[in-house]
Formats: sequence, structure tokens, C-alpha cells
Amino acid sequence: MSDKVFAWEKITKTFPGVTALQDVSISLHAGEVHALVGENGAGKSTLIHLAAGVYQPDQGTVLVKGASHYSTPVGARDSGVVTVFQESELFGHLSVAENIALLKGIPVNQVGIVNWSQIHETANSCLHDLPEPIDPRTMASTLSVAQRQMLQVATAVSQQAKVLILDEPTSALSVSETNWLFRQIETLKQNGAAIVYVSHRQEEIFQLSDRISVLRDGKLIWTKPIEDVTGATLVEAMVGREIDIEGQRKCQERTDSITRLEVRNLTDKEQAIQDVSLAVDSGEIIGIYGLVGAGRTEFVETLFGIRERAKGEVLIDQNQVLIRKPSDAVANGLGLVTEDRLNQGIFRWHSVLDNTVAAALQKIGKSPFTNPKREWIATEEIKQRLNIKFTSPMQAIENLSGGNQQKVLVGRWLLHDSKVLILDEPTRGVDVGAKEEVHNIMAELAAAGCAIVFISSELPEILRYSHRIVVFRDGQVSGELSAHEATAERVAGLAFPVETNIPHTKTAHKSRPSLSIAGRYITEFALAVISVILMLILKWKNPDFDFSVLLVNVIPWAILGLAAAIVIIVGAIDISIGSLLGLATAAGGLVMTSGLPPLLAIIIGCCIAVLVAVLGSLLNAVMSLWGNVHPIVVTLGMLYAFRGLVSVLMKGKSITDVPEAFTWMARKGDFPTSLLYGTTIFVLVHFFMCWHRRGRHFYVVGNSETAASLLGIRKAVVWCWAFAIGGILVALSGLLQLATTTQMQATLGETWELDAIAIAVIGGVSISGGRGSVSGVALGAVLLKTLQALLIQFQASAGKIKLVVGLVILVAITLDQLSARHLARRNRKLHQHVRRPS
Amino acid sequence: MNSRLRKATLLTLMLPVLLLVMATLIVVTKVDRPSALIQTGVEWMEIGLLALAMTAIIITGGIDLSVASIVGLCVVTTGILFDQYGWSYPTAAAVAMVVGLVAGIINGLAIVGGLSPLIVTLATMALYSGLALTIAPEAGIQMPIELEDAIYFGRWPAQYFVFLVALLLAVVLLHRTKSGRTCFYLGENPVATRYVALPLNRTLLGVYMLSGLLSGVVAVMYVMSRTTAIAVAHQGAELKVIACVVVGGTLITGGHGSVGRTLLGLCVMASLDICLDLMANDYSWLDSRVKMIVMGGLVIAIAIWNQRLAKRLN
Repeated sequence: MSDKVFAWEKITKTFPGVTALQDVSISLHAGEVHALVGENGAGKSTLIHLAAGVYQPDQGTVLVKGASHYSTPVGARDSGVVTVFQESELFGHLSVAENIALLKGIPVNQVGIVNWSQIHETANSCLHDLPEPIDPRTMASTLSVAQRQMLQVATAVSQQAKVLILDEPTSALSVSETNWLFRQIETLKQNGAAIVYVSHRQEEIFQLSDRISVLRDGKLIWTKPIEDVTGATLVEAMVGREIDIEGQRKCQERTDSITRLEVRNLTDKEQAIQDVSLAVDSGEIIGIYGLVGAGRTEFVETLFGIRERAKGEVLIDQNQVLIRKPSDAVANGLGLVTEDRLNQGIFRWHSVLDNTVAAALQKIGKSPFTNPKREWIATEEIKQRLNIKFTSPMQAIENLSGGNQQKVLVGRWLLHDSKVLILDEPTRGVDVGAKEEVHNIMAELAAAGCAIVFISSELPEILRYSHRIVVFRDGQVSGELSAHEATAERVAGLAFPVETNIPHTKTAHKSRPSLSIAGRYITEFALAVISVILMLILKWKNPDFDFSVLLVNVIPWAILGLAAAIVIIVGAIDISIGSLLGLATAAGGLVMTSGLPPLLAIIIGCCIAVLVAVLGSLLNAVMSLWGNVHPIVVTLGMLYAFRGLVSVLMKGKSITDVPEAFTWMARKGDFPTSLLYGTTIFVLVHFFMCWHRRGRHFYVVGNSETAASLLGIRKAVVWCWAFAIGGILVALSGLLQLATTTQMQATLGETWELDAIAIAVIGGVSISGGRGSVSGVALGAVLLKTLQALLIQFQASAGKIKLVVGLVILVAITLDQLSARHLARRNRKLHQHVRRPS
Repeated sequence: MNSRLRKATLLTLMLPVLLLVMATLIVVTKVDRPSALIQTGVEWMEIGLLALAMTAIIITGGIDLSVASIVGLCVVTTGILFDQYGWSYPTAAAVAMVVGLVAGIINGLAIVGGLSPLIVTLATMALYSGLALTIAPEAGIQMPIELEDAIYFGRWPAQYFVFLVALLLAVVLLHRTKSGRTCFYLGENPVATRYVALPLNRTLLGVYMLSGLLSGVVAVMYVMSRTTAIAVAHQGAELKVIACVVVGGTLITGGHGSVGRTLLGLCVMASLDICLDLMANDYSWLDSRVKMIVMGGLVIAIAIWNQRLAKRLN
């Protein structure tokens, strides 16, 4: 225990309204496992984020090897500090192998070509000794939480990390998976790495760690070697006093009461909870305790109608009720304060008033109109009753502290007169003082006759405030204790998993790779089949049909569709590409017909066209990024601007007489050169998107901007690249169009963005970004244009063709949505089956 | 609202208001026949009507690219029912409005079903205008001139009155009713909206229905004042409509905005349009093509101004 490899030095970190850490110093030695314990909100997570380079300390420093420090997540990784967050985000549409490579840094050569064989080798060597094998080719979105965590640990281990930080790594793991994790930790330890281990599970801490640091309310209580610590001293340090449950029990004795809520054998569709039964009386606080992943939140979600129920009954005041969606639950007098306050609770930009009255709009006035005066009075009333601190009901809720926000959310249901109030981790992320207040509010509400379901992973508060405690384990109720029976040991004993080895059904895993491969190419396959069928009909209708003409027609469209697709893949959209195509072609065409010698004219013309398109497209990207304006708005404005510029350039005339040599680009004699041209472009772009570092970054950013920035991949740079390449493709498409038709009207490209985006969407590009393939887009273009050619054969008017395009887009996105839902459901089922064979 | 937020709101209004004042001054000094302005304004009143529904849609976090196509479809429906089937104009008009409503419901249902509003309405934009083109005779339908007289109340066409009424209704609907409030909640945090049991699907369906219905109303008035029914009526207007909403300062990502802002946006766009037209008389280079560039640039400039201000003040 000599050399310090890592240290937090006198760290202070504050967030608006909360001091998360205050003068905390912890150092790590080589070859030790250092446990970090504390209640929720004690500052563990802030400490981890500081080490990972996500946060910067207000005061103090993070030291690696006693000297260097860093200010970015990438810096942390390069210094050998690897963090596995509890709920870390993977790139769902990318393969497992690529996700591993991204965590470690993608292997590329000098020109940025990705070495896929190395990626797969690394992935295989990372994954080979997992308790359950994961196929590196599977899409990351199909992995379970446990698999994601193991994947990250495996990657960290193979990285030879100097410091490995594990945040609740066993919360989702089975026993055999936990054993695997412990073996990995042992190996790392022997290699001289320091491991920070954060867990709520005491026996794991005592089994693994060499030293323990306890945090409470943002302060370091002590750091001691494991030999000097007992379970009792640890709990005392965490809670701040010896737990004297009887002396501190806050819940009043209840007098006569009726059963308010009764749940019988509740099971959800995905079997995350099974046969849960419990009852809550009026005036009673039921504490629900369980480890993370034990099914507490899933129970609440099923009860509230958010998850689909498979069986079970819910009775309110002895009447059976049917709850299919949250509004049914609320109508029956249930109220829910969710665990995730920011994403599921508050309306951030809205005022306190708007947030308070949200659930009670119907209670405040029966008419369809809002009643500002009564809303104001109601908000003030809640403010008084719950002692919420805000200056005016019109203040934005964002500016309130976590505790006050939470109180507003509780107040929301008070206004609604909920009979049963469900509080999921109501004290998470609030200050100590506010915690106390939330507890008191709970007790008061119960005294007033409300039935309260109180969920928490903090044992002391559960013990102190509940009349009865229901313990969850593995999605089932593992026991129920009344207040006098309950002790910390008994509750914890019921909550921790029983040491049985769950047999793993390997068969289900084997079916997964085949599923993913089929899933990956199903779009292309379907598109190809439909196109062939359409072509056959075309041939049958008109035996003399010249397919080379069709192909020549498809190519400029396919290229334009590709331009649209690339921009969509990075998570943007460009509705100005049609006008940009017109502009670039006009600029190029005008140079070509300006009377220069033909060869020179062609070269300069093409260069100008590409230059104009790239600049225009980059302008879109830059304005959207710099102005922080959604690309739809920017490209909407540019659509006007480009169209205006086209007519300024064209001066009402049209371009004719392009040099003959230029038309060879499309066709020389009978030879369709454009085929060659198009194929080259497609192969190049395909190569770029699949094999080049920058191309892969398009998918990374499109999948998740935040996760990408943690890897040091900047959205701005990637967007500029995507728009620039999109611009080049737009110009290439326009030039080919000019060469094919040998002339250009000022209206060229108007409303073409519709077909371009249609081609991308039909080709399987996800409109929310991150998914899509070059081959899919090519096939999408073939399908759309074949269909249009077919319609022309049937003498369809322009209107009918447009109509069919619209229909095809609708069908394509509907199928896409259905298949995505189906896949998600199938994977979840598969996973449940593997984890819980019943 | 706290003082900082109020300051931000005022500042975002500054640029559009400045532009509006400048443009109006130029219009006032340049115009020689004010009565001609009434005619020019008709189109903008129609755009304004569509923008009112679009405001609600954008506040819910959606978008409707198909509005102009629905107008085209309803215009053609009115024309055909009146001209080819010999229905009375009010009946034809009523049916056309129902057609608009149905078109809106189709959009709404697809979006409630979980599909992206952008792509759904992009598809129905093609679908509806394709349908309009298919059923319309190629040359369009010439309507009797008496229809045009029927739309005038004194010197003012009905568009002005309809817009004013719709504006008041929109203010009340969006800012003074529970459904209106739900739109804001929905645009900001759909999950939380679901958890507080507000009628999410009904509200979403409602805004798209409203958009369809207003498109029908615009179509009926379009046929009367133009005395012609063509499928390409108001083609491309969806862009102007969205521009009005965005220029006013309503957030394209939803959750924040108002009818008042859209009114401001409409005034800015309309006055700029008219102002640039008038200036074209003096400066020959300032023709319709340059106008497009200027308008496009201004839309972006104002959007960026609004966003950067909001960012700096937070």
C-alpha cells in the first residue's frame, strides 16, 4: 500500500441549490479495492463523475499519479481512469463489437480507415470468458442491462485500466455473473490497478474491499481499512447515528381504517414483476424496499397502467377497477410522484403554478376553460401547506431547489385529492433539510387519511416512517413485516438475492445472432424483392421496356437520396437540398455555357457546382449549430434563399447547349456511363460510411449526442462533415441530371427534397438518426423510381404518382415502426426467459 | 414570470418589432393606392389562419407540412362539387371543410399511433396534393364571378373578419382552456403529461383536426375570392406558415410560444413582403427573386437571434 495512483484532493462541488461535495479528499493505492458507501444523495455519484471528467470541481483537484489532471472524459480515459456507470448509454444501432471499440478508441490507420478485423478480434477476446456469451455482431440495443454492464466491465478490464470505477455493478447481475465480475476485479487488482467499488450490498463490500470510505451529505466521514469496520459501524457512519428505530419512529399509531388499495397477483406482460399482492389502508404508510432492479418501479408502473398488465386485480375502496392507462389510475384516485423527477415529473420551463395545477385541471374548475385566479389561489394554498419556497407562482420551476420541486410534485396530487399516493424515491437528490420535510409531509398526509405507498432504497427512512414494510426481490414480494417486527437485518435479509444458481438456457442465446443478422438485412431484402416484383409487372405490361433508361433515371435520384440520408443519419434534416441542387447545377451550367474552351469549361463548371453546394450545405450546418436553431428552421429559410439565387443566376432563361463532352458523363453512344458514375459514387460512399472513422462517427452522433461527447466526438465537427459530404452528393446528382437532359430550367430541383427524403425513409433510414445504410438507400431509390415508371406505363397522371409516393412513405414508416416494436418485444421476452426460467 | 425571463421575452420581440416598424414605415410612405393593399393582404390573412393552427401543433412538439396540400384538396373538392355536380355553393363548401377535417384526422391518427409528425405530414403532403391533382381537371375549374362579390363586406373581403374571429378564438383556446394548456405540457414533457393523466392523444388529434378544418375554411374562401379552383392553390404555403410561427419566436421543438407571437410573425412576414414589393418599383434589382433571398435570410436571422438570446439569458 505504498504508491498513490489516484486522488480526489479537497474537492468541493456545488450545483444550483445543493452542495454535492464539501472538501472531500480520498486517495487510492495501487492494487486495492476501495469501497465507496453512502446513502443516496451523499455525493458518491458526483465523485464518480468528477473522476470520469464529466464534471469539473469548483475547488480542489483530481490527481492521477500525483500530478496530471484532465478536464474531459477522453482525458480521463487516456490517463487510464475507466468508469462504468450504473446506467451507461450504449449506441443502440451499432454492433457490440463497435461499441467496445468506441470505448477503447477505434483502431484506425493513418488515413482513418477502420480496421474491422482488429475490432472483431478485440471484441472476441473481451467477451470470450463471459458467463453467457455475447455475439459481437449483435446490435447493442438488444442487450439486457446486465449484458451492458458486463460488456463495459470486460472492456475496462481488457484496457489495462489503472483506475477502474464501478458504480453499482451488480445491481442487475445474477449470481454467476457477479462471480465472474469478482474474478475480473481480482485479476485487475493483481495487475496493480486501483478499483473504486460503489455498492449498497454490504456483504459484497466486506468480501471485496480493502478500504472503505463513507460519505454523508457531501462530506467524507472516514476512510478505514476493512479490518477496522463492522457492519454496525458502517451503517452508523452512513446514517449519522445509531439506528434506534423505536426511538425515532415517526409514524403515528393508526386508529380504525379501511382498505384503500388492494393489489392481487399483479403480473406484467414482460414478467418483470410476478404475482405481487399487497394492501394499503387509509392513513397507512406502506414502505416498499428492495434493491435496484428488484421490481419496485416496475410494480408502480404496472399499477399505474404504464406497463401492460398480464394478470391480477386492483381494488380501490373494495371496488375492482380496471387500469389500462395512467388516466384510469388518476381517475380512480391514484397519484404518482415518479422516481425520475426531471424527465417524468416536472415541466422544466413552466411556472410553479403550471406545474402545481397540472393534475388538478379538472378539479379546479369543471368548465373547459382554465381559471387563472383559482389556480393562483390553489398554488398559494399548496405553498402554505407544504412550506414550499418560491417567490411567485409564476417563477419557473427550473429555478427551484430539488426539494422544493419535489414538494410541488407532491402538491400536484394534493390538489387532485388523491386517495392513494405513490412516492417513488421521493427523497432522492434533495437536501437533508428538505428530506426531513418530505418525510413530515408524508406523515401528515397519512394522518389526514391518505394511503401512502412509499418506495425507497434507503433502509433507515423506510424503517422509520412506514407502518408496514413490503420487501421486493427479483420481481416478487419476498416478505411483509409490520413496524414492530421490522429490523434492518430482517428487511435486508429479505431483500438480498438467495444464493441459488439460476440455470441459464443457452438455447435462447444461440437464436440471437441469427435474429440480428436477419434483422440487419431485412430492409434491403424486402426492398429488393418488391423492386423485382415491380420490374416483372413492368416487363409484363410493356415487353419492350428499356430497363437501362430506368436505371439511368434512378441514379441522380439515388445520389440525392443518399445526400438526404447522410444528413438524417447524423440526426439533422435538410429540406433545402432540392433548391441547393438547382443552385449548384445553375452555377456549374452557366460556367459551362459561358464560351470557355469545352474541356476547361467542364472542369471549372464541375468544380464550381461542387463548391457552391458544399458551401451552401455547410452554411446550413454552421448556422444551425452556431445559432442553436433546429435544422428544419434553418434549411427552411435557406430553401427560399437558394431558390431566389437560382432565379437571379438564371435571369429567367434556361441553360441549353452544354458541351457535348459533358453529356458523356451520362451516356456515350449506347453506353450508359452514368451507371459507372453512380456505382463509383455509391461504392465510395459505402466505403466511407462503413470503413472510415469519420463515417462511423456519423452513426455514433446520430445514435446519441451525449454518449458521443463522452467519447470526445464533437457533434459540430461531425455535422459539418455530414453536411459537406451531403453537399458534394447534391452537386454530383445535379451535374448528372444536367448531363442526362443536356439542359436546365430554373425550376430544376423544386420540391425534389420530398422525393429525396422519401427515398431515404423507404431505404430504412431512421428519421431520428443513427440508422441507415447506403445499400438500403440505393434500393429505396430503385423501388420508388420503378414504381413511378410502372405508374407511367399505366398512364397514371402526375397527381396519381405523387399520391402513390405519399402512400409508399406512409407504408414504409408504418412497417418500420411495427418491426421495431416487434423486435423490441421479442428481445425483452427472450431476455426475461433467459433470466427467469419459471 | 420572473424578471429575467420577462427581459428575455422582451428582447426576443425586439428584432421582429423593429423590422415590422421599419417595413410598415416604408409601406406607408411608398404606397399610393392603399386600397390595393387590401387585395395583397388577403393571401396573408389566409396564411395567418393556417399559422394559428400551426402554432398549436408546433407547441405540442409536432409539425404539419401538409396544410397547403389540404387546402389544394379542399379547393378542388369545392370546385368539382359546385361545377360538375351542380351543388349549391354552401353545401359544396361544407363538404370541403369536412374533407379538410378528415385529412387532419388522418394526420392526427398516424401521429397518435407513434409515427414522426415530420415524416407523416411529408407523406400526406404528397398524398393529398396528389389526390387533388388527380381529381381536378387539368385546366382548373372556372367559378362564376358572383362568388367573388359574395365574399366582400363593404370594401373588405371575408378573410379579414374570419382571421380576426379565428385569432380571438385561438387566443382563448390555446391560452385559456385546459386543452390549450395540455398542448404546452405535451410539447415540453410528454411523459410527465401522461403521468398526470391529461388527455394526450385527444389533444394531439385535436390540433391536427383543427389544422385540417382551418385549411378547409381557407380553401372555401380561396375559391370565392379567386373564382377559380386549382389543385395547386397555395402550393408551398406550408413554408410561409411555419416561417410566421418561427419568426414570432415560438420554439420549433415545442413547449413554448403563443398566438400573439404568431400574430407578430405574420405581421412581420406580411409587411416585409409588401414592403419589398413596393420597393421593387424604385429599385429594379429588388425583384421577386431577391425578395425570396431576403425573406429566407431574415427567417433564419430572427430564429438565431431568438435562440441565442434565450441561451445567453439562461
